[in-house]
Amino acid sequence: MKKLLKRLCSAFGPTGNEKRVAAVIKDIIGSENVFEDKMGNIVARIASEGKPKLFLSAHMDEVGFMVTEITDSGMIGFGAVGGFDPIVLLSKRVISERGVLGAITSKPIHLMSDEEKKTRTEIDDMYIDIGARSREEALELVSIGDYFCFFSDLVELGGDFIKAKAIDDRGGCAILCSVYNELKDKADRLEYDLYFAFTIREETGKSGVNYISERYNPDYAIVVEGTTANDLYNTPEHKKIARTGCGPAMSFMDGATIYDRAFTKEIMSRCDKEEIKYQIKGFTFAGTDAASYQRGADGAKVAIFSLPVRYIHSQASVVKLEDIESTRKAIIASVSKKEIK
Amino acid sequence: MKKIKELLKGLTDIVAVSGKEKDAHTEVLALCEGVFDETYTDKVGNLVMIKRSSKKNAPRLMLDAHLDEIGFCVTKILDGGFLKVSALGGINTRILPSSEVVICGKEKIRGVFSSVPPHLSRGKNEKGTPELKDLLVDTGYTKQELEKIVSIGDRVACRGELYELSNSYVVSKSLDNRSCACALIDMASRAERDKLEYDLYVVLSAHEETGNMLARVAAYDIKPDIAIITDVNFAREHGLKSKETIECEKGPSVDISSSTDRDISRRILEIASLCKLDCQTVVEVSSTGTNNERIMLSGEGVKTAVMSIPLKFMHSYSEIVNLKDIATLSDILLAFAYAPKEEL
Amino acid sequence: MINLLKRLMYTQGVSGREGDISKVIEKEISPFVSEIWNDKIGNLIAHKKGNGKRILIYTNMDECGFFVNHIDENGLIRVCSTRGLNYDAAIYSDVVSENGVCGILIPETLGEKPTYENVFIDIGAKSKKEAQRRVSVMDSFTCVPRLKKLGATKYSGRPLNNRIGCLALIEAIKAIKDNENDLYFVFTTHAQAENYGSKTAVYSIAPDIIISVSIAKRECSDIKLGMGAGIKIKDIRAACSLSVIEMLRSLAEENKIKYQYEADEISGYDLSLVRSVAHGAEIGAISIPCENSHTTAEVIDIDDVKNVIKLIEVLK
Repeated sequence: MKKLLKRLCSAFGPTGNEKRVAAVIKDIIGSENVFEDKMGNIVARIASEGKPKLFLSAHMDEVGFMVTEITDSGMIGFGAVGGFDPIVLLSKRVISERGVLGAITSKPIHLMSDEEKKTRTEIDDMYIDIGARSREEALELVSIGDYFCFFSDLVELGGDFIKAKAIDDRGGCAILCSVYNELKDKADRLEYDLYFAFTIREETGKSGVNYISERYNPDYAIVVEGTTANDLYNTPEHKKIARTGCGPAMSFMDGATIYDRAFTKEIMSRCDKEEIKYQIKGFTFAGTDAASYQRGADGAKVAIFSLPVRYIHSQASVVKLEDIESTRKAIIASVSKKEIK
Repeated sequence: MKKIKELLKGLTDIVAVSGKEKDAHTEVLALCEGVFDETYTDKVGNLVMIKRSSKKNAPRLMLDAHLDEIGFCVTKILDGGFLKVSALGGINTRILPSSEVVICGKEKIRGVFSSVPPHLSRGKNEKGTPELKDLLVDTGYTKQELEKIVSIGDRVACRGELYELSNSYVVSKSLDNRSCACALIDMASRAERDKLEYDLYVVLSAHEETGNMLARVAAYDIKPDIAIITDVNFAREHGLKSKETIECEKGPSVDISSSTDRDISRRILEIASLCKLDCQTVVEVSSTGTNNERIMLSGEGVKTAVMSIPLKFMHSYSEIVNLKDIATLSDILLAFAYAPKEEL
Repeated sequence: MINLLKRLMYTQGVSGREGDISKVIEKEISPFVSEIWNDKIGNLIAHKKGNGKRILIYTNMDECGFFVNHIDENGLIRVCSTRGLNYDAAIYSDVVSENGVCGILIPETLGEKPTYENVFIDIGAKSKKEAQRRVSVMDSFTCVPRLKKLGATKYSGRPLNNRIGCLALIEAIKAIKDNENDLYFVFTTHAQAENYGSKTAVYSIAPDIIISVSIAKRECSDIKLGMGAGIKIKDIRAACSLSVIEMLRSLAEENKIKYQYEADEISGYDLSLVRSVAHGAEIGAISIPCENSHTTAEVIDIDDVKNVIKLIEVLK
């Protein structure tokens, strides 16, 4: 699993530019029964005709940056692709789609007025320094519209924790790949006609799930996502949202979706039976791809497994491997026929 | 250039406030006589005009420009022959006092937005931005006469005929987005069926300005292989940041965004540079603010690119555009439609 | 009619939890329709077959409410809520859970503007354990339902928004006989969560005309209580189809139904959404004037409702 995670997290794939992640996934799961639609979603199927269609879904894209201007002095101005707190960006290293390295800089604190020191630095005031001395030099390496993403490797921390970029949602991709490879010859054991969707453009809200709904019209969908784990020292209990080490988080509601209660409860009871850890996620305003499944075409019943990830949408997001394993088990329990253990 | 100006004049003379586009379709079709093989108006008011390639089973290229313009609808007929109106689209209310309008009732009548003379306003209204609810449209008729001509819901449009300024600049109302409609019609009229690699679907779409963006419905029906959305974008003016704007007289722009298809965008830029046609780029990081975001999500998905014409004073009745930029957009699109479809 | 209204209002159905209210409505109308079913996300769809135009008439059956988000050690309940919940109006109200547990909504600290982050529900539990015996995370709460007559024709209470719309559709369904048009009546879910229940129903039915029946907030337009059914011209995001406005107006005049126009300058979401679903449709809306929407003192005039019912009836 660690190896899978490493391959997937290190792939370059900001929203709208997911092709390299797609290539890695296709390499992992093979090409049999795997279909790539014209927009770039990948859908794999473990077919059982006649059973209800259930989609397991993870998005391939990550948050990133797009070049909006190149100054006369060769600095690169950028906009955020996906949601950032600008506070996590300063002095981070980034890499472009063409492999150009840079660092995010802004006015040094020495030069700031007292007034400026009091205010936050916004993305508009930040630049990527790639070492170019002039606009001309910069233009040889970077064009307007190029993507950058975090340059950050996968590192094992203590206590079964792992740090990497893009765990939201390559963690979900890794779980789905592993579940697919495990179940692909076991269609007879499944309760559903099972589909695995690796989707595009989640982070900017123009989700590739829309195309999937239209083409396949799923009956059920379980989204596998990264979510905020705010289980830090001295956070009040009710503000922790999700906790690491407690298994996947199931939501009853978030900013965009009220999840199907009967379906969610069914999954919970299966996890209880097999003693698989899960938790109930606290409310946040963020939305997920589940919204697109629920309201796409003529609708679908939706549930979610959120992988608790600390410092999500930063270059150093942190996840506990045990949670990934619990999520994997929970998914298998959710889609298998009841009588088979 | 003269031909484009005449076509543009014809198009800007048409009144098509959001929701009332269908009435304008006859007038648009009269300007496109002989250009298209087939035309239809769909359920929600998009005008679809088709010109087919002589090749069998050619891929479908959808070219979209919204036909509607910002305007108002009548919400009340008041004593003394005044009308209350409500905005359809992003109206800048600063420009309204004392501006002229056309009311599209059973017949077209003229009106003027009320304004307060300086003698009376002194000391009050310091904010300087009047609100639409405080403004009236004065028609000169009596209430009884008005009720015979005007119904609740009727559309009201700003008046602003097209005039040519120097250096091929023109000023008019509704250059947003008749400029692009003009480029598309001009392009289709010049397109030779034998050279076309695509079947052209020119869509003049409805309800863009109200944010409903019904172009999505047209895309759902057509299922295009590629869609190019054309709209206007802010021209560089004093006070606007360079990275948010494009420059007049440098051709149309290709909007680079995480919501558009990178290969198609790149292909357009390549073709433009190959043909030595002016083309610029602008980055709209996550959304382009055009019909694109609705068209791309239509059906099983549509690969899209967005092209814009630089426009000054957007959403006023004195919008300004350069005819050369319209001509270049038309040229680039024609070159694109003649170039074989790559495996994208 | 008022008895039925009361029954509708006293059946809890927060967004995503519409099962009970759906059953009440189904029982009421099923003898009067050709077929009736719930779709995948819970919309109740009733079909009265006809050979004319396919018209979809919808109203939402869910209401605003709270969900239990966390139970603190001291037995107090932290909540989150659906959209549209007015905390200023709800604070210090009696609340009741879907399982009938009573409580009160109280602020954490005095003087702060109440939001989901700083209010509790107190159900009188002395500890977390005791609270957990009576409620679970995910349970829904609402302010307690109430209905009072106010003068000759007005009624006040909650949730008039939007059980009054449900009442109008139910009464119209009962009254319509031998309809020419192909009528689909949809009681939608999830309206207090971006309104997307209506979207999936429109997708599967693919109507020619969509008519929304809902309350019109007095503070968003010039609409007045007691002045008849509202015919919507536009809301903040959508201009209604002129053909539908004209159809409703002429039907109202032919049948001597009292009506007024409504132009909403502040709110509106779902009309713009449903019109561009799949192959598209013409849209219009019939409004029931309402004051103090999303509070415990919503007010409607039953005469307006009767006019709305008649206007739906003549769509046959």
